[in-house]
Amino acid sequence: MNYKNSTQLRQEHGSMLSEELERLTAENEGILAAQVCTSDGFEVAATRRNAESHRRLAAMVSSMQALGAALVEETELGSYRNLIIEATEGKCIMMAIAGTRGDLLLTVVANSQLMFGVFLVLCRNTCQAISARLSQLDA
Amino acid sequence: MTPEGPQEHKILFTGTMGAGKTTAIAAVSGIKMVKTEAANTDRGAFNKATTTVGFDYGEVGLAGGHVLRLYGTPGQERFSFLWKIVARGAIGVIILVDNSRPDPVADLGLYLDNFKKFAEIGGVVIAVGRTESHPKPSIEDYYQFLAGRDLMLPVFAVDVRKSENVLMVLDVLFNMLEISDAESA
Repeated sequence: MNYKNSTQLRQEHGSMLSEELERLTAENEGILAAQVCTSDGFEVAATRRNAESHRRLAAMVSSMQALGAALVEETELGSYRNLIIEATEGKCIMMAIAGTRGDLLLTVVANSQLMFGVFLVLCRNTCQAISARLSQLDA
Repeated sequence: MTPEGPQEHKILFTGTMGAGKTTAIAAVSGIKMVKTEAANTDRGAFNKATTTVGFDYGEVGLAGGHVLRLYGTPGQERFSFLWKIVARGAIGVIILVDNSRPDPVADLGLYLDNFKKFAEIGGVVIAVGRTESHPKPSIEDYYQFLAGRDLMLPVFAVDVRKSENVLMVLDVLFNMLEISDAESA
């Protein structure tokens, strides 16, 4: 994927990304929200149209992903994959989408009822689906 | 500042995207810097390949075993949630202003608002960059702006690529804080 700003990404991939995010949330009751943003903190696609909240979330995800990657480098743990946050009322996964050189990040929020393993698999599957469709579009 | 034993002090570098925060810390850090950069997709704001989205970290060793821990914030306002987090425990702030931007004085105002508590205790030094290519606004213009806000803070024209410039700004900030401490003691 070549350099593109968030507006271009929204125009070119927004509907495809929204489709994948909607599929993820529609098929799984425990998933509360999902978003794709750029690694420098711009929202590209999201479920639940609360624009202000998604703008803030995109910036936070960007920072946390970068800090996670810095920690992975510091502790020599190989390549950064994802970041997981667990809270009393739910959990959140932030994943780098393969094939975008880490430039696009998937964030998914789930309630506490959704089993963690299931949550992880669902998110990975969505990442793979997005990655596959992006490579088709860019080919 | 406690005079006994080696001390560690946390100092923040903040300012707009592309003002030179990462460069300034890299110019003086005695350790390998921690950088949290991402590909910059907002080339309209500043045309550079990467931008800090977490924080930069470096250290400067001082005589007597004292250490300055330097933190650089992301510049964009959408990261202001992180400014507050990174500022916890800091003793002072260096605001880098890019004089080539459309309204650098307004930029300064934004950072003074966000780091108000430091400005009010004299814990802020303002370092203005790219003044050779963009001489306006002048340093005097900045002083007038600060006077309008009842603030007496030092303003310097600097080249953050030069370690002596960055060390000078750190030295001024450190001395201001010591004076402030002595006056309040």
